[in-house]
Amino acid sequence: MIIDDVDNGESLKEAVKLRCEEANLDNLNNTQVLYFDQNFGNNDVRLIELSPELLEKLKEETQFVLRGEGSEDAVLCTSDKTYAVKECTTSNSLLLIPDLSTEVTPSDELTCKSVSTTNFVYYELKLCRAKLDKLRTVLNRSAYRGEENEVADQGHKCTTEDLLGIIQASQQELRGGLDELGAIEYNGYWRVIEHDYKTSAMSRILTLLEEKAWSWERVPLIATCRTLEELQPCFVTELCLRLYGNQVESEQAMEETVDSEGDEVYMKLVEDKVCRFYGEYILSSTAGKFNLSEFMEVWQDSLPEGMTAALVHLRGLALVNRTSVPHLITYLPANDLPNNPAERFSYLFSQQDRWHHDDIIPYLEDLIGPGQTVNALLLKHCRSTTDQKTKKKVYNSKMRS
Amino acid sequence: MPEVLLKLKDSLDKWGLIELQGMVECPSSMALQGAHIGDLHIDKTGTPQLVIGHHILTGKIQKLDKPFGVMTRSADDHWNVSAVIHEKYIFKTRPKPIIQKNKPED
Repeated sequence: MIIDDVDNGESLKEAVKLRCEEANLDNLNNTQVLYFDQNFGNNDVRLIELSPELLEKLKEETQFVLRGEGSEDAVLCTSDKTYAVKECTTSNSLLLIPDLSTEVTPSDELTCKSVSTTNFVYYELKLCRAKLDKLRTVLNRSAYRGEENEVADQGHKCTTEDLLGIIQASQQELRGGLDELGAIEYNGYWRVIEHDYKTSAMSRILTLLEEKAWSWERVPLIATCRTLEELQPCFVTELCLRLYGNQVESEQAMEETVDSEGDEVYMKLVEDKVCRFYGEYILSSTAGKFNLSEFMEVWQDSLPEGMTAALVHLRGLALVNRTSVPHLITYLPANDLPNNPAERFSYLFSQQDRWHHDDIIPYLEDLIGPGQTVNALLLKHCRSTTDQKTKKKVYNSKMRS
Repeated sequence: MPEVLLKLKDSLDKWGLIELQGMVECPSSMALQGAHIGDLHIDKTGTPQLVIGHHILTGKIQKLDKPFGVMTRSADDHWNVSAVIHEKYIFKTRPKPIIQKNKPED
């Protein structure tokens, strides 16, 4: 406040002038007399570091969201990014003062300012990986496994809002996570399809394609749904086709005005995904290891005509052992592995004590956050040597003597 | 678990920050309420001078690499960013004691 009441103003000005004289200071301007405010000690004002980019983002979006349950560390989410919130302590006192001026142009003005709080802590934001680990577990609780279970599972089903309340991620990252898991919104709830149920559903679809001699490059979505309706709900058929294929852009439909096929949507199955599906189906159907060449034969036979099986399709799903005779292939899905890096490496080395660089990479990719690299993880958790023959890196556990 | 929002206030207030080494001490915050702390001046060279009790601190105005958002509680248990601070006063040098001038004898 500006002191302009003559009595109070004058006596305050005098007092300040006296203090200056005593301090041997002259030519002092822009004086701000500082007090603790009347409610000092009860005010709750906090500081949060906002980089210029985040500040711009806040202006655009007008609000951010703080998320975290119970013992979790809080995160701050913008529309598309997640930041870990860290409490930093200073050894200095930070006095927070409304209306404090930093004007240096000299002025005779004398004003009074009040300190609202003294802070020793501020919040720092660090960009981090959205914490989507829980998403799979949460969605699996209500995984679709047939209409007969729908009522029983109702309590576990989650809407977008429900998920945002549990998962520490921005909305966009959540959508990305949902897409990756192949979740679909069904009656307002996000659902995944239970693994075995999905395998049966996919098998029925692929069998139908064979029966009808429909090309896997032009699968009629609606016709397929309708034909299989008695065996599985349409949304399941649609989900499978969208998981394993892409919609075909129909240039013809744009030109034609009246066409019996006008409403039909065509899907082109993705070879990599279908090969992967069958490969996983065969590998997981019996526990343990397969003779590699036998497996490759069975696998190729199972595929629709025109598709070719290749081991690269099983990246992150299978481990190939070429040191044994005969060569073996084992089912090892990355999804089932521990999320904690140390535990994951421990498990990987329990399966095989030497890993080639190209073989281990697929099992580490989902552990990487922003600014991190797979190589940094390898450096931290493994010992490496170079294979004489291939000249490529090979990794061993650091734990072994 | 409900979301806690951090909302940018429509029209931002102006807040400032003074950084001091050490702490302002007092047995209880209550005793501090309304109390005079000191006088903040700008001298003829544009340098901030802070007179607290019998000491002067000389400081500077420093731009913040990362601006501070000032968080205040909003009515509905959420938070507002009510102000953004881009620069601060900082007093890092040792306080100089003020030696009282002798009053001239009448």
